[in-house]
Amino acid sequence: MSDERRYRDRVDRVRAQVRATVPEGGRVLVVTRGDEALLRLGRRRGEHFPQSPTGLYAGHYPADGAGAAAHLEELREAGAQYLVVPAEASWWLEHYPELREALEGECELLAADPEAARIYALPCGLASAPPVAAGGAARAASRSVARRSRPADRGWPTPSRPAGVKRVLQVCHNHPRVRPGGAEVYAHELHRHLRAASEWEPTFLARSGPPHSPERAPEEGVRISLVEGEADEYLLHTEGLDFDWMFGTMRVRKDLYTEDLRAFLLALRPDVVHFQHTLFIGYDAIREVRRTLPGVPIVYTLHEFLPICHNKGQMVRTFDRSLCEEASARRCAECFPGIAPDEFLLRRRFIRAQLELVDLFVAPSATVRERFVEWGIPRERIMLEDYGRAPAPPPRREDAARLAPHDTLGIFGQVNPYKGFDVLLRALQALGPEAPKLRLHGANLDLQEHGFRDEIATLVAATPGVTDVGPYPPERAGEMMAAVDWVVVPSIWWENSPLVIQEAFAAGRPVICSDVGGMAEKVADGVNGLHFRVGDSESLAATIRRAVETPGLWERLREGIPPVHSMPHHAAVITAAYESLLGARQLEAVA
Amino acid sequence: MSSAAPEGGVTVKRLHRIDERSFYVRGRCWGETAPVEALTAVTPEGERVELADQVCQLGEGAFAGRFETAFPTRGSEGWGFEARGGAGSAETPAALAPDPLRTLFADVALDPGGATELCERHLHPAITRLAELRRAGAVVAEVVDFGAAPEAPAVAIVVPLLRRVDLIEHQLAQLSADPELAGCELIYVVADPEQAELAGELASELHALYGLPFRLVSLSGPGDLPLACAQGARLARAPRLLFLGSDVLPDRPGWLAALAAALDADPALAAAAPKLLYADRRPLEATGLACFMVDRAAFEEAGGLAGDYGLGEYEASDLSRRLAAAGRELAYVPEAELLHLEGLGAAPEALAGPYARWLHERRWAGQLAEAAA
Repeated sequence: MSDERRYRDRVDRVRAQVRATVPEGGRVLVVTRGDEALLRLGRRRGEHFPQSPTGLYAGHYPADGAGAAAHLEELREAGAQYLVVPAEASWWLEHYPELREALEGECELLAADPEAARIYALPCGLASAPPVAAGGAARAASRSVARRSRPADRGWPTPSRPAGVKRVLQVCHNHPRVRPGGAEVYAHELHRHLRAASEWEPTFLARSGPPHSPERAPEEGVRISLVEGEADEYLLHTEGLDFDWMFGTMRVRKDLYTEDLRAFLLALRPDVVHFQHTLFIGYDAIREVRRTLPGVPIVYTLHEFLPICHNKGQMVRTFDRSLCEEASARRCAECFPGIAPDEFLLRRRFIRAQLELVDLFVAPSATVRERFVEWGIPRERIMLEDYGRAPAPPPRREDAARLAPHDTLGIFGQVNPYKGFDVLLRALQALGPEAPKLRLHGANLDLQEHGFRDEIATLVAATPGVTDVGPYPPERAGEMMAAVDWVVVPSIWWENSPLVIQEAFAAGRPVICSDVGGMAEKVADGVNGLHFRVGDSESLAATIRRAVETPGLWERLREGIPPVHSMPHHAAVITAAYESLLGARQLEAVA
Repeated sequence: MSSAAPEGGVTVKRLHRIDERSFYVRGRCWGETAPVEALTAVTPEGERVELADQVCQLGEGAFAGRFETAFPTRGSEGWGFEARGGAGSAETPAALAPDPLRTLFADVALDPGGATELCERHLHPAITRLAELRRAGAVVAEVVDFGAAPEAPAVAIVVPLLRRVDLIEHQLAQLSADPELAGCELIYVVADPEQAELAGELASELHALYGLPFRLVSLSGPGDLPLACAQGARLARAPRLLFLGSDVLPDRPGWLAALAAALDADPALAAAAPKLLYADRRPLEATGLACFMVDRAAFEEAGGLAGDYGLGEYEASDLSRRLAAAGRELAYVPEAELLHLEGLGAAPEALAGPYARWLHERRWAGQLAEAAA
């Protein structure tokens, strides 16, 4: 037998002994020389002894016995419960007499096998946990660990909190400070609102890194860090290139979930985890939450069709940009001829398996809910609840109620091939010199392919009366909208519940939109806006002419605008759902 | 090797080593209409081997077949072939080509309509010998346990991995939601040693995420799918084995219990196969090793899996027939439905198909005829 094989056998034996001795959830120090294999202890958290302040292998032996004993004491205070001394390291006990005295005096020797290891229980480790039993004991043990487990230098959440305060962790694919996008702007507003409310203590974990953000982790190996200037907002640094779009998972380094995210979850101990988005994070994060916090309700907001559709979640066919009504292995392979239909079946199965761990989905529109019901999520697990919006500052007096003629259009939001900017520009070209003015507020065009960017630039240049205002900060949306008469939402994909419609209504502006999906659902034709045939610039041109030329229409549609779904109201619905899930969990626990 | 067609010469299309004293050759003597009178191979060491009686004459000067040398020969260069017939004689140099199985499986097509001389006397012994060598070279090299399997598992699920080790992830995503898996030991066998390291890394990360205990086995040399199944079966403790393709996913929970219940219900039954569906839900005709449950004692008594089909399609049928000979039947359990995603590229190339079919017919011709009658 080779030395290498013998060593591996020994490692296996140590791991088996730890598994047999230490309950699940236990925090275990292992005397190593840096070998991570010794730390793979299944559901027990293995850590190097000695270790650096960030938990890595210290890289050297303790200088003397007093140093070794002090280091053990420091880690014990931080929550370590067990020390494993593998047979290879048994010389430590002779070489570091102070360490041996500490172990023999204060610690209980749980197991000793000359072929494997000696395992000690550190004081307060076992004492705080109930006697070893099945899952319950393991959970109790891991809870007590988490309360003390994180080195303060990471700036991670402290487990202490006032009685009665419950924690919700929101996970989002992006921080709006990095890139303003609808879902992240909304999610962050919800976070800010909950922060101001007293009963829920929110934490916001936003993914960061290329391609959304050129920024990388503040230092090598750190994958979760605080947002500068915030106490409850964190960035999860992942590499965009590692993300597998097909299956929505990290292709490599899945320890993102089982190491970094797990440690964060154990430190934070949220009562509810609310996923706003898992792009560039992975659906596996849901599984990690379920595994590490088995009793914690998981909520997932459906912002588009990404789990269903590989074409960026748009449910638009790749070859002609026509709307897709239904995903199937065969149809998806038609959109992606290089991918076998069986891969799409595998994709659906994989993503479904992860989403099945979610307790409650939030669908901001019936459009999205119905698609997911058809795709296989039980209807009763999807709550229909529109986005709530933070109150916008009142518009300037001169903008509040504009006088006729109502001939200024505005288009707002992300510029990508599915948003229909080209449909609107072509409609204006068709209207010729009589065309109304257009204020164009487009964001994130730089994320698009060159061909598309050039197409938009050419169209803008060729269309008279267009003012390219460029991106705007989300909090100024109301002000920008108030400066136009009509807000146009010409998307060629279904849309969910476009925030831009809510913003337009909040600013008192009727909406001209495509007659499909979430747009048609949120805008009532002839009541608070006008519909046109999706993707059809002639239909849009005729609708614009009617809008601008019909006397009294603007005023009538403005009257029909419903009150905006406010963030306080929305947050009350969402937190009531959290409470109800928690209540259901408690009932289960009692039963 | 000459690609031209010299008058009266010989062209060697393929020359492969089977072992150190047996070889397989295919070629053609040009300008010959009658059977070649004399065809001689000259080994790199200079031994002359008369082939005319050893190989199979396929007409119009074409020949193919296995031949043996008196002495071991090791070089791959420096072979020569001489043909002597009505058209005169000439010598052609030749060298050994790699991947003999590919040629042997392809050459089954040269023996159409079951004129079995080539298959029976040449291809079959050569393939059998290569399978023996492969089995000897692919023993269990490493076993790593991720998590602890149940003390007394009811079923050992053996999953051979060929090429796509990433399918472990997809299977775990499905299986970890299935409560019946708690009573099983799950054994993944990596058939290709080059994939073993990747599989090991992946397995460790996936175990941390999914928590479902499983065992990862790697082999010392390249093995085929049935060989990986056989090695996994040897490591199983449970009284029942379930061979499961890495590209097979349960359609819904309950499949495992349905298969087990079928075996529980009737002691005459030793094996059970479910209904397998393609992605478009058409049923497959035969399940092969893609999903096959068998009583371990009966499996061992019957001699385990045949090692010479190579593909994974006929082993289950072959085993069922041997079980039947011992009075034990196979149950078809259509209530258990699983999806077989053949398009994922996790199955072996179908090269061995015609040979495996020939071999299966050869072995079980009597029974097959009876069944047809």
